[in-house]
Amino acid sequence: MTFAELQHKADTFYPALLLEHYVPHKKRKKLASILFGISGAVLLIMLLTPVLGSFLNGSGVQFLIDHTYNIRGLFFVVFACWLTVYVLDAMYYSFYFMKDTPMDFDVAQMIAKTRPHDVTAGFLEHELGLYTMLRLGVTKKDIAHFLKQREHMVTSQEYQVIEQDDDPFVTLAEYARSLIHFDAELARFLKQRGIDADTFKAALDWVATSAHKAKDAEAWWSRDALARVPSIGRDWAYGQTYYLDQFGHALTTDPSYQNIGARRRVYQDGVDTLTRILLKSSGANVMLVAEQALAAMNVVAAFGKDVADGTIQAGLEGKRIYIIDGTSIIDALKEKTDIESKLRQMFVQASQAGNVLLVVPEFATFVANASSLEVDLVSLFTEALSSNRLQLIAVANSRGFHETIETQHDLMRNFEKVVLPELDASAALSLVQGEVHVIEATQPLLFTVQSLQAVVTSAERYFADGSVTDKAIDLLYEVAPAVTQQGKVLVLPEDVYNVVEKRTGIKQGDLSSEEQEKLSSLETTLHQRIVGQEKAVNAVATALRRSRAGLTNPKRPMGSFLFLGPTGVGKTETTKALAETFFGSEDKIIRIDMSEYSGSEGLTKLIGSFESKQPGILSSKLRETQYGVLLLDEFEKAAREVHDLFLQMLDEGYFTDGRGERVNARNLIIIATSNAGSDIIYEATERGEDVAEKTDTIVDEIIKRGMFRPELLNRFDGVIVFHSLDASALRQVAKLLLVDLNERLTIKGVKVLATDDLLEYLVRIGNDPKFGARAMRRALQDEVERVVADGMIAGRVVTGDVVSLVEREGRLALG
Amino acid sequence: MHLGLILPHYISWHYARGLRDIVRHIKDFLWFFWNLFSIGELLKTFFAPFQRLGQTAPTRFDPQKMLEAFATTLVMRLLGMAMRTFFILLGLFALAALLAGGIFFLVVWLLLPFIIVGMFVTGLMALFS
Repeated sequence: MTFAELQHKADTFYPALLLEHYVPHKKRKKLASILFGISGAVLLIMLLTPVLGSFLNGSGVQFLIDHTYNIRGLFFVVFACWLTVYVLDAMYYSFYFMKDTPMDFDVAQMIAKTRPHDVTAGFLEHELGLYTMLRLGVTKKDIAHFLKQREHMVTSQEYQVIEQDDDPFVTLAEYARSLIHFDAELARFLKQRGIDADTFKAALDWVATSAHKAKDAEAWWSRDALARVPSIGRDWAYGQTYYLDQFGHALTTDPSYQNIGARRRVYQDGVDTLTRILLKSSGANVMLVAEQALAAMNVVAAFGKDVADGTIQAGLEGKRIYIIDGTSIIDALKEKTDIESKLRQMFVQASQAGNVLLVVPEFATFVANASSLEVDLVSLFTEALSSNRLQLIAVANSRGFHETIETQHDLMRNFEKVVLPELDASAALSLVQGEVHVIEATQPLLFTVQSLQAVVTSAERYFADGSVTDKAIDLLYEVAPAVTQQGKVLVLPEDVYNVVEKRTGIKQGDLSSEEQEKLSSLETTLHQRIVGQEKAVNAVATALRRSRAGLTNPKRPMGSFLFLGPTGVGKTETTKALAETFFGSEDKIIRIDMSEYSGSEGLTKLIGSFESKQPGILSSKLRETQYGVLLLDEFEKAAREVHDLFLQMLDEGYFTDGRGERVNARNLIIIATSNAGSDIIYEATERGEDVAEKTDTIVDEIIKRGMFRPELLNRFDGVIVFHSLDASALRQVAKLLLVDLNERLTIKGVKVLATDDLLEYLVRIGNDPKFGARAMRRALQDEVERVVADGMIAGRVVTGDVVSLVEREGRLALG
Repeated sequence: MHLGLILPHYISWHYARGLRDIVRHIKDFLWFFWNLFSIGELLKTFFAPFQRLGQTAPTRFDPQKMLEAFATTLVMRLLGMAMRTFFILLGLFALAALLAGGIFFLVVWLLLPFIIVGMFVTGLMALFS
């Protein structure tokens, strides 16, 4: 679509555009208030003059009495002016809210104001363009500078709208994104500031929606606004709800309803489905199933808002939504007969009231808890619902639904099941944008689009419990005061990352130079602690750099590796070095010996059990420490069911524990170590072969031996083979261990010299292919430490001594 | 763009789209008052007992209790009908007032350009007389 065609389409709004050109809306509003005030004052004078005149016998107001006729004239003139402004504004609104237009009024206004020789300036200088750029962190000053130093201006002849879809409606996003296509300088300007096409579009859509919403808020006369006024007299049409008030509460008093706010928009699909089903008949019931019951309650709350606002379809107007409080019924009544009779009374009252819609949150839990008191809720609900006089929404989480409800066919015949999908990041972004307006209305802050994207991605990645939307909103409300405290106005992604880092200890965002240095020299850092194992260290370091650069899948663990190799070759040491480098401390290692979970009860021990109410070891540990390195020692020894658990964990970044609750593993580096295939590795090392190159052969052999299944091995980011230590590596290990010993001896003021003789002796004694560096550590303890300790006790080694050890009769002795 | 052009555009809007908008808004307000006073729901439930209170008829044949239940429910129905009649009448009165106001506004709207010009001219003449 060419610019001339656009101009032609914009002419749909011509009268209002003409008006806006000379007297913009804001000025008109101000003018109307002034004129209304003046005409009111003049009218008051007109009315008061005769009264005051008779009281004061004309003195003091004589002038006004003499000019009564002129004052009346003034009133008419001012009032006529006010009426003129008023009707002109009516015309403006009429065009602004016109239906079936080729574009939004704001876009038409932007086109009308654009000078033909400079389309880019037309966008950037328009109120919406300026606001969009500000939402992208680009200030007015930056824009002025850009416009000034350009070499080429895109003319209306060069420009045309590249339509993104078949819809002929031209959106602000389509109009502005086409500009980037034709204006290379603008594209470069945005790119230099890290603004990509998607971010630009997100800002444009947000600004366009906000502008429209602001205008909607002014239109108090619209049908939508009128529908929000609650009805009176409805109570006289329907019955009382005494029992429901006793063991339930109206949805309008529920926290889910009170906190739903702008979030209701993202649940619209769920609300529509709910409405469609409930409208089918007066006895239609819905079973809402979601991964988390809370998300399903949000759909109910959003539905409740529509009912309260009167924006729901006619058949559901005036419904009173009651939440049955299952826990309080069980806690208060305790006895089977009391519970059953109370519930029956509630059902009767609800159906008699005529407009009650019941909601049972945590339906599966309620059924399970009641069954412990031998109350058969399934039969009770089946009986009540089959009368078709009651309307009910039952809410259950997926696990509870599958375990308790799904198999109850008689009960399920009364329900239509709705499985709610988990909300994705784009829904969360649109929600967060809505919530930002609430924050910005009360605090001097302006959130950039990039900061909101950071809020959503961080919420999804780093915080475990709850839906991504709830977590994003929580994070948003943490970021706002943190930025306000710093006295800043513009909220940038860095501000979000700082808050996330304070909570999790995980660094995000652009790398600091110190961190850059640390990451680029990761191999060197790791090699300070790990001897040899070049390829293993390189593979781990590369994977970690990918993770820090944000290239990994946020829905999986930060990294996952299977370390294969004999004992004492550096597998655990590499894990420790990783924890130190990535999380700042070795304490961030969550270590689990998998040989303890080899039996049939292994899985229950790890994830807990619903029946015994015992929490699982793995789920408890991961709830305590969500960020760190999970070290799974002797992984091959775990039971097959345990391997299956990790299959899900490595794939999806979470698992469901015995109580049906989700446990997050997305902020972990998972390292499984195993001795599987050590013999092959040892033999290959003996033959002088490069074991890293033989990884596939080793993995095939392990699979053949039935130690791991291929699908499990494929889930790891990397299977890394650690080779056995050769003599030179052992010599280096000995050196490192001596450094460590000398550090411990500093307190005593003693030092052991690492002579060639000593190192050679240690390599000879501590060379055990089965135990690698562990054998060396034992040799050091048994030989070096023994000799030094004996010397100190005998008084032959005293403070200030530099001890040299020599071999004498096959054993070490003081030199 | 010339400001003088606004007048013909305005007049054509005033007697075409503007008029249609006014009629639509009057309809919206009528709908709003109908819902505000819940007239539809009160009519639908006109004969129901007040707040759905009443006595349930006994399951076994017991003439006295049946009569009691009938009497109680009848009283509650009559009470409900009386209350609803009051509210429905109130709502209908409001609707009638709104309709009259709407028609008056429509007439004023049709004459508004002349009223404005008339007020302005008379006002100016009076001001400078």
